[in-house]
Amino acid sequence: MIRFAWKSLWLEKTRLALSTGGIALAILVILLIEGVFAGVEEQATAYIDKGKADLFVMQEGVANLHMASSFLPPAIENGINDIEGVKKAVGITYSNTTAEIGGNRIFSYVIGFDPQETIGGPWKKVKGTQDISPDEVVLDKIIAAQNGVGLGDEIKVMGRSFKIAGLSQDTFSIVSSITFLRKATVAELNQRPNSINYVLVETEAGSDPRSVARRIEKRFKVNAMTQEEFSQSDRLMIRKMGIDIILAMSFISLVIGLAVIGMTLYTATLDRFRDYGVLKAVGASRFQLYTTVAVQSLVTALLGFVAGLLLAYLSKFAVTAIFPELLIVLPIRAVIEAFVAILIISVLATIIPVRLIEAVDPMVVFEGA
Amino acid sequence: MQNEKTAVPVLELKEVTKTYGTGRAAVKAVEGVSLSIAAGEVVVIMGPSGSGKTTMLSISGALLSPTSGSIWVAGQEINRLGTRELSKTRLRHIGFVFQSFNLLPSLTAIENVMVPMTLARVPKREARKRAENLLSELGLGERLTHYPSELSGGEKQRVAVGRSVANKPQLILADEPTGNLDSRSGHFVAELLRNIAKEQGKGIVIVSHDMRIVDIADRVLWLEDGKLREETGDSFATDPVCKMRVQIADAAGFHDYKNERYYFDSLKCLKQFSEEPEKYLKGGPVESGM
Repeated sequence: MIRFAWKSLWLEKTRLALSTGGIALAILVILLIEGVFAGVEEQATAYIDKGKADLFVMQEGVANLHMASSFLPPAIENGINDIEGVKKAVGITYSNTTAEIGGNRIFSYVIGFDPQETIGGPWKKVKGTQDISPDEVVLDKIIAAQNGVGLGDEIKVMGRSFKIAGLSQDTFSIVSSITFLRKATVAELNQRPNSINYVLVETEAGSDPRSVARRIEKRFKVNAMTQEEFSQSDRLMIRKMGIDIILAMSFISLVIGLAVIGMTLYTATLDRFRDYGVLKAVGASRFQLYTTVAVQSLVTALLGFVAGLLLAYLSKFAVTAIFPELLIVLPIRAVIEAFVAILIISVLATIIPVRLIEAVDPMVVFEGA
Repeated sequence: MQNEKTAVPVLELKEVTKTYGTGRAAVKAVEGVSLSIAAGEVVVIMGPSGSGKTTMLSISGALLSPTSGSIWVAGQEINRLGTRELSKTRLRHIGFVFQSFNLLPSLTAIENVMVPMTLARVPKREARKRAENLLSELGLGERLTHYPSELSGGEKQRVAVGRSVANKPQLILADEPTGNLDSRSGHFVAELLRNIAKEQGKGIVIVSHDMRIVDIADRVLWLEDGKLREETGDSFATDPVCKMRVQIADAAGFHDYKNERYYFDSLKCLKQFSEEPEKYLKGGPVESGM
């Protein structure tokens, strides 16, 4: 019966193409929305994920960078440097604020870093320079382009003017982009000239960052989190905030996409209802009918899935070429989830019509042409 | 013939009734039908549309359960069987031939004939050989790998007949097997079914409107309003103009000539005969009756 199932599927190529196309488009929508969601998360935690820091140390009770305030005494930077397993500890200053860029007010994470240090500043090559003076700023290049400014132009951060000396990459986020100033400058803008906000720690090779974090917490009254923990914590915070909408969209697209897939497979099965009726009349058992329908549904679903996946990867490049501010990430997890979902839907779309076939009206096979 | 009559019937219906709907809306499609088909016997069931023919065929083919009564196929009572056993009964003991052929369009002629054998788990090589032999016997040896869309109506029906006998069933149920065929192909298929019954000892039940098929029948039954009655030879006549077999009750008209009554398939035939009776009665009047 596998042969019949296979040949029957390929007999009407237009119908197969329509079914596969419908499923591919549903998969495309599911993966793209999931991809946008994953991209937003990745952009939002880029500073934590892309820099070289293995640990982030902050005020006790604080567990986020996003929408959080942390203040630490400056001396703690040297103290942490003395702890076993720490290769380097660098303090940064930080503020969640808005910047006036080209007449627009843009929400931004403002990071105060030391240009001489290898961690804390931009992690990708900067156009212009990142060795900025107290009156200069490194701005995200997408934000600059969106607001019509470039190197040498001025922007305002917390009411003070800065000249754009560098344009950074991978620092854009639709949640909040990153703007870099010197460490002392941000401290002044925060009106806490002698404070730092976070300490970024690079651990020695071979040491366990989690153990080092525990040692830091034992020595100082602070919260020390590994890069993964800190990133997860911020992603959770972001989800709790506005990204719930994207999550809801992602869920709705998943439900609609799966419904489209289910309906497509269901309809394709019903289109072959008469053939199944003939098989039943001839003496096919329930198992043989299920096998036949299941093979056809699964092959259609898998073809649609592969086509949808290819389309999603192609669209990813096309969309980011047109909208550079959008980062689309297609995580393996999302692909596997979509695959499992489509398998489940295929089985359901098989069971329902076969149950109808089981109760087939004999007229289906006896009626004339 | 004596042995066949004493053997177990291949199909036996005992007081079978099928009612659709309930209460005041209840309709009896088949009512108290009893019927016995012996091996090697060809029985044609005729009747007007909506008389219950298809319902009766569906019940006989284990596709529909009766409201009451019992059905025996090859000596086994099937109306007490579960779904799985009914499938097995259809697969092993019953072959179907449909008016619209119902071949699977994605499979070639030989693959269509192999379907029941595949379902019955006959080894592939054996199934292919048997299908090849069957189709060759049916005159389709050159058409084995043709798809249904590449076959004529008569060829399709021959493939369908091949499929119906593939698992060597004792009973073949045919629904209007000549209904979609031209005269020549219809005659060929009708003869084919008769030969299968006589040479292979299968019981064949044919439901049909086609009077041509009456010629191959051992018995003709008439189903009307869900009730079955046996037709006698007096029920039929031959149209002297077009030579068609005519059921007297359904004839388009009759003409009395020289103390004989002639029945006609159509008013056109009746008119032609009325104008020149002798032209159509050369060699004496055409014998009426079967």
